[in-house]
Amino acid sequence: MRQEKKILYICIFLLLALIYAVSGGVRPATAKTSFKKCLECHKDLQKEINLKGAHAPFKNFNCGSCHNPHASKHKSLVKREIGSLCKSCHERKGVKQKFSHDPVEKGNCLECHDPHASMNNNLLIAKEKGLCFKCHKDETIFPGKIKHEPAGKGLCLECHNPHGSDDFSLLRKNKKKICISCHSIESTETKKAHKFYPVSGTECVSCHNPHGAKKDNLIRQNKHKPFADGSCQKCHNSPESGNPLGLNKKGSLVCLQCHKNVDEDFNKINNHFFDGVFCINCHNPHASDQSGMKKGALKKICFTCHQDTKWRMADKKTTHLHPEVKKGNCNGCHDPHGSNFRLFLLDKEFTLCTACHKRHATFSHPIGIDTIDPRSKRDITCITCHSLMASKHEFVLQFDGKKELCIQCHTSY
Amino acid sequence: MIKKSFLVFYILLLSIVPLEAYGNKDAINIITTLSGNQDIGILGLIGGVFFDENKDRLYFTDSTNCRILSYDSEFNYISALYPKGDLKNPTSILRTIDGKFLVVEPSKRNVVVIDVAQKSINSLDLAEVPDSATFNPGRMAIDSDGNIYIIDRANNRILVFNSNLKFNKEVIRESKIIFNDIKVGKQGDIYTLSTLEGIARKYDRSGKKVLEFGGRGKGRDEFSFPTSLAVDNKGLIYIVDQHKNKIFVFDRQGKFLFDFSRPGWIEGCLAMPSYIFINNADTIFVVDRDNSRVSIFK
Repeated sequence: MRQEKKILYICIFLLLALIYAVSGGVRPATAKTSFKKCLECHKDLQKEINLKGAHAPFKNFNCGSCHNPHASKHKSLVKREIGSLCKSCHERKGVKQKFSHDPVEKGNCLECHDPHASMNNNLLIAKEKGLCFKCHKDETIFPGKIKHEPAGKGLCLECHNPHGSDDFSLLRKNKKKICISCHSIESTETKKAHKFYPVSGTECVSCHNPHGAKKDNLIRQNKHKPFADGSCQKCHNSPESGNPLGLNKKGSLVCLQCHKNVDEDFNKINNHFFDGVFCINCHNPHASDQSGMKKGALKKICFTCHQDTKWRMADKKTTHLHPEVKKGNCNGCHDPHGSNFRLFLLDKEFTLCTACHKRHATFSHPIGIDTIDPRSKRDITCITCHSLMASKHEFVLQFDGKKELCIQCHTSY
Repeated sequence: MIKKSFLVFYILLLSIVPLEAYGNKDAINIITTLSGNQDIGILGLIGGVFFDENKDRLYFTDSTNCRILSYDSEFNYISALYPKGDLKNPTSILRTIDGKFLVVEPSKRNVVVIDVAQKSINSLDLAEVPDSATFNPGRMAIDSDGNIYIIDRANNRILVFNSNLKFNKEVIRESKIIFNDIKVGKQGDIYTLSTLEGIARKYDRSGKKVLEFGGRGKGRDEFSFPTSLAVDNKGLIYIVDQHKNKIFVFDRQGKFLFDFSRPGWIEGCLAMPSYIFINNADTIFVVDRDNSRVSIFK
């Protein structure tokens, strides 16, 4: 009987232990600790705490709201990852909008903000101009000497939301409305410059670089030939018509009437054919600062739709990126129009990869149509072992190259 | 007494362990995979898959090698059809109730009708289709009456052809929605998927939208890059996420239930899956594109 009671008590104890484990343990008691003690050692913060713009938890000696005073697996003894920590209070700061600023996406709030105090508004670590241009280099923002006044003065936040927006360029307002909040388009001179086509409600950035340009009126560097020639009616109806901005051919036919050579690309197994004038999803039909009349940097165009790919490339676990990915040169491997190869590749995997990785064309490991992957029963190609774009392993391998990769197939080892 | 103690302990233990729908997830298992072998050689890019209920046959297109492969109900290889010259890269496929193959041929921007019995290959008759000059077919579906539903990618619409392949009507047209896949349920409801939005929609027979759910994001039940959907006999909606390499399952109201499969190469895993089809027996066929095979689950 005593033995049985003993067993019963052990069972109850184990049960309680399980409940404890499942519930996450006992929460620490909310001890009334005075964090004023922190400043006794962290003397460098004594001056900052009195600044007008000090962060409220810091000013109120609530250090424990961000820091663990004992131990933490995070730098500076913060309780958790910075992004998550800041979001616990500052969720409303645009982080849920369609597109987020990269530092926001990665949770790197401290790229821009000082968590304790700052002489600048909104706890910024530097004034607007100095801050944005730290990452957004002058030479990429300003392709020429002529600068849009707010951009030249570094007043980036006049137009951009630094956290997030429903616009890919993080604009505060719709692209079709933002410019006319400062610029009138009603003067005769402006109408004449636009060949008397009504441009109200259109995207000014289609022709004008909102930051700067080499040409007057901030016109973009490369002009589409009909645009350069002033032959607007090559694509559009006449300005006197009932629908002047309407196109004189339906859908992509307006582009393909001249660009016949690309039509075939959209007839391939994988293709980026869409409705309407889908060419302008990627190309600017008027003027562009990019080669091939692209709307913007290639990476920016691709990531507009392939957002999840952007997230994967930005993931902290993805430590090894293919050099073309680092450069943002998606076209280095992919055909943006169409392809008869998997993943929109420019060619068969082996042919494509060895075009750059020439040494591997004579690789010792069996590869090709006569070599079958025992897992999938398909032919072994470069991407059997290497991830196409990014990986957490050296050489962008699918698995660790020391053993884990090999034993995927060589299972007896 | 000892036995009673342990019995009490285990009952209490089970009441603490959360009972998720893992039981449902475990109910879906890989049956087999159809991959390259000595009979058919290496498989290229697989375009689409279709199970013909009348003939109990499975068909799928090998777009790269321009052929249609057929398998019996036990998934044994039967034969391959090579309609060369008329087809370059067949993608989406289905078989009509009178046995004709309909295959989307991107190079022709049309649907090709293959009548094996008559040994004829013709393009789908678009004479009655409005705006047919810009027609560009995407994926297709067939309902229980043999009507064919075709996505027109150029015009963001769904066209319906009757079982005699005559144009019937434009059932859905949405200017701002890009349709990437379509299936028709047993009751005639039309299910569509938009990859870029990550949204699945259900319309009634008349084309009125009755349900909309989904979205792209980083959450567990959010999509990365959904490419195809299918509906089973219970009305559960299965959606393939190509980049997560999983199949998500939702109930009739669009509530997430569970997901199954995972990224990989061995049987049961998926690598860039692109298409899903479910037959009347609720057998699930998935085009496992990067593994160059069709994975069959049940």
